[in-house]
Amino acid sequence: MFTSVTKKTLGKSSLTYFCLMVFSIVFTIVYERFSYGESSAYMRAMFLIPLLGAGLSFLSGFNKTWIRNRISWLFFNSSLAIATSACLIKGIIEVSGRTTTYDNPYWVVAIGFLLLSLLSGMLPKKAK
Amino acid sequence: MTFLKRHAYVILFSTVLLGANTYTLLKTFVLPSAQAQVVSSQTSQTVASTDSGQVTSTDNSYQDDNISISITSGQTSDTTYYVADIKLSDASYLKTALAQNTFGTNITQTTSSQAAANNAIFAINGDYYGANSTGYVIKNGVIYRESSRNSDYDDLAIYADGSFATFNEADVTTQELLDSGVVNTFAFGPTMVSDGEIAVSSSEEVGQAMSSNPRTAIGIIEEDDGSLHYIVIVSDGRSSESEGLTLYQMAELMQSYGVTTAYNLDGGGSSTMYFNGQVINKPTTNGNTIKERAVSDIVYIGY
Repeated sequence: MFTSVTKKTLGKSSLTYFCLMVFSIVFTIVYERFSYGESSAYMRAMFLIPLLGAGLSFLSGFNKTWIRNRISWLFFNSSLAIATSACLIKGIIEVSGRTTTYDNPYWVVAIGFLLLSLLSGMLPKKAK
Repeated sequence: MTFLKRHAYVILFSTVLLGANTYTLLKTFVLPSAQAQVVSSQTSQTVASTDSGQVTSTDNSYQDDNISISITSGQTSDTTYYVADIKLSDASYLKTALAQNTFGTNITQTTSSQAAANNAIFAINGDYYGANSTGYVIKNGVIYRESSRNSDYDDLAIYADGSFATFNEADVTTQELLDSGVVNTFAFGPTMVSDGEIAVSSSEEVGQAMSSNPRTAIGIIEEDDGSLHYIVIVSDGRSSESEGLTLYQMAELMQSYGVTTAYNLDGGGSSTMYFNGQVINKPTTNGNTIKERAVSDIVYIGY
C-alpha cells in the first residue's frame, strides 16, 4: 500500500494547483463576460482554493504540514475538489440570476474530508 | 499494479463528485418539482363585477366599464420601451397567475400562454419565484412559500384594496402580511421609486444595477380621489435595436410618469408585455433570437 508522499509528488501537485488557480481566474472572467451584468462572489473567490492547495502542497514538500502520507494527501485533495465544486455550482447558479442553498452539503462534506486528512496525517508511520 | 487499481479512489471520487454536480445543476435548472396546485376556490380575493359592459378595443387600448388600458411606446437610451397606463374600478382585476396553475421549481410557461389560459387582457412577467428556493410567495391571497430570503432588496406587497407597499422579509412574516390584507407579494426588486422619489442609486457599480438589460417594472400612482391607477413599463434590450436600461434609467422613466411607488420585477429574457392576445415587446435572452422565455408566474389584468 502506498503510504508515502514524495517531495516530487507534492512539487507536481503545487504546480498543478497553481495552473488550476490561473484557470479559475480566466474561467471566471470569461463566464462573467457573458453574464449580462450578473456576478457571483463565490465564483470570483473560487481561485483561492487551488491557491491554498498550491501553498499547502508546497509546504508539505518540506514536511511543514500534516500531510505526511498518501491517504492524508488524497483526502486533502478531495476536500479542495469539493470546495471548488461548491464555489463553481453556487457561482453558476448566482450568475444565472438565482439564489441557492444547494451548495450547503458540499461545504459540510468538504470540511469532513479536511478533518479526515488531518486525522490520517497523524497516523504513525509504519516501521520499516 | 494496474492503472485502475492504483487510481481507484480518484476515479471513484471524481465520478461521485461529477454526478453530484450534474444532479445539482439539473435540479436547479431542469428537473420540475411541483409542490402545490392552484385551486381557484382557494383564493381569498373577492371578485368584483365580471360584467365588462361596453368594450372598446384597439391595437393599443382597451376600455370597458371597469378596466382602462392604454399602451404607448417610446425611445430612451437607445432602447425601446412600452408603457401600459392602467386604470381599474376595483383591485380584484389586478391578479397573478402561476405557470401551469402549479407552484414549484422549474414549472414554467411563457407569459403569453399563462395570459391566454387566464383570459388576461393585459399581462407581464412576474418575479420568477421559481428561480429561487427562498423568498415569500403569496399569490391571489394564498401563501405558497413562507421561507424568507436573505436580501437587501425589499419585496413588493399588493393589498386587497390595490395599494402598494414595500417591505423587507426580515421584518414581517407571510401570515402577518396576509392578516394585514396583502393578496400578492413579489420577491425581486429593488424598489425603484418610493414616495415619488427615485430609490435606486445611480452610483451603484455592482452587478446588474449598472448593466443595461431588458426590464419589467410596475408602479402605482396614488390618486387624490383614491382611484386605482397603475403604470407598467417593459423595456427591450440586449439587441442591436435596443441596448436595454439600467435600474436607474428605468427608475427615472417610472418617476417621469408620476408614480408614487415603483418596483423592479424579473428582467432580462423574462421581460414580456402581453396585450389583447399579442406579445407587444421583443423578448430576448441572448439578443439574437426574439423569443419568449418560459417563466414561473405573471401579473395580469382580467376578469
